[in-house]
Amino acid sequence: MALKPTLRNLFIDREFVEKVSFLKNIPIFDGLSNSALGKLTGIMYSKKYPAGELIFEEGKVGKALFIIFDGEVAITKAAGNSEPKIIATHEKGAFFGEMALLEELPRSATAKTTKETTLFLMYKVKFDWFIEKDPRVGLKVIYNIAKVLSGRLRETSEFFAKTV
Amino acid sequence: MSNTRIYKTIGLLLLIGACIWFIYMVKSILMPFILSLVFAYLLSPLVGFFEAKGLKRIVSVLILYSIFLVIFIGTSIVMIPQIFREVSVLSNSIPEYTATIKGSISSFQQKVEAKYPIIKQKGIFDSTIKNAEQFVNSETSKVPEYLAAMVSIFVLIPFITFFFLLEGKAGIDFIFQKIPPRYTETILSLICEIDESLGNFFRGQFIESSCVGALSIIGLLILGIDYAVLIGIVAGLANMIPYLGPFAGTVPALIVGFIEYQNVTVMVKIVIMFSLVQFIDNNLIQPIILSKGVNLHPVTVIFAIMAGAQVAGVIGMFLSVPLVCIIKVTFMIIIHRKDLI
Repeated sequence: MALKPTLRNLFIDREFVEKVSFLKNIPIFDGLSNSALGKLTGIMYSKKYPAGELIFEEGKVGKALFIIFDGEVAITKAAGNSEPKIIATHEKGAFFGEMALLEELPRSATAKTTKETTLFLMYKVKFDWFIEKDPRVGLKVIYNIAKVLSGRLRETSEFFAKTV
Repeated sequence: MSNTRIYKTIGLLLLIGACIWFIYMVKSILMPFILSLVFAYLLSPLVGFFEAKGLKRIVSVLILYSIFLVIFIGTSIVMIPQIFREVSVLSNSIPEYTATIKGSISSFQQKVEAKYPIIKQKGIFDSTIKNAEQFVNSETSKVPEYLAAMVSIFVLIPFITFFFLLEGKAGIDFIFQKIPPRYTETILSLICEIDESLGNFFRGQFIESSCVGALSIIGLLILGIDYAVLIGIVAGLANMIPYLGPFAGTVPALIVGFIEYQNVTVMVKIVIMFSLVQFIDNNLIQPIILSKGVNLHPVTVIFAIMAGAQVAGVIGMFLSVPLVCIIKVTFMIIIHRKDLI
């Protein structure tokens, strides 16, 4: 009976299992199987950022999607000559920069860590390659991104409707 | 520029110079490491396949090695006796072939010298044959040395590749963590793009050469040429060298065909067969595998191959084109992506 967990520990990568179960709860990976998530981890990189570190700057071309595995990130936008305005604060499980997976255009805001943060990075070039290799999973991710963007667009429209 | 910055720049330049000098000094022992690095790079997607199933890296590498061991043993059982048979027949036949070639040259010499006596007076034929004999003798005496070097490389490469596969990811991750955070997105994007282009290039070359090798073996067997397997393997390997490779693969077949049948018809058939293989390669295999993602000018390729041969012999010829590809892809990305500068 005790053999099964021992064998499991011997062969299975616990860090990988932890990563997959974390990704399962990210909206853009909604409905993906463990096997599909396992494949996606192969095109992701993780990096630790110290607190107060710039992740990307407004106006610079975006090339990757970022997922917060741990820590906190503030999204700011330049406001003329005054101090940049914080438009959102993201925590564990949140993601940002998803537009970069669709097209390489200048970033619309700046991202900075407010605590020590670990991020997962998924690059457009790797994701494009992944779509070619596994169109079914790739399409599902794109569909999920479209849903997220549609939700954000709706929120923005409602916000404008209320302010006007 | 401040003094500290000048000292740092000088220090960095000295360090780079020392590294280049060190690499140059140990270049004779670098080959197994470079080849292992290439193999580890080619095999890493397969390790990734097992890792995506949740297996530990060590387990994934061991599974991959076990699969290769089974394939190697299986292939050896089928191919090795044939290769050994061909090598032993070839080595036994060398005196006979030498006599045949000498006879052919001698009759040709007599005919030419009878027609143009000045050639005999100047002793052009005799001195050329003497030089050729000396060259062949000196090269033949080096064969055991070459074989010993090949065996040591073939023992070392799987061993070193194993550790590169096992520790490579951790090493890359270590470097990745050292990249200043604000440049991470840009630098990694550049690396990803280079990786994509080179990965396709290497994998494409491997598949293409295997197909060319297999087709050549089948073609040579149909034509009834001796040492079909050996010549086919050489043709497949040579095909990795652009432009020059296909010719390098055809020449051994032509020599063996000429010695075996002593008529031009067989040689024409061999040339047609290799042309057909190249036609299939260019029009069917290459479009499927899309291996020619990195297009290099023919002059660049020839220069790279010659420079590679000058620096590191045959291995240098194989590695020169991928190296030029790395340089070209890096420059192309930097030039096209103004945001990187």
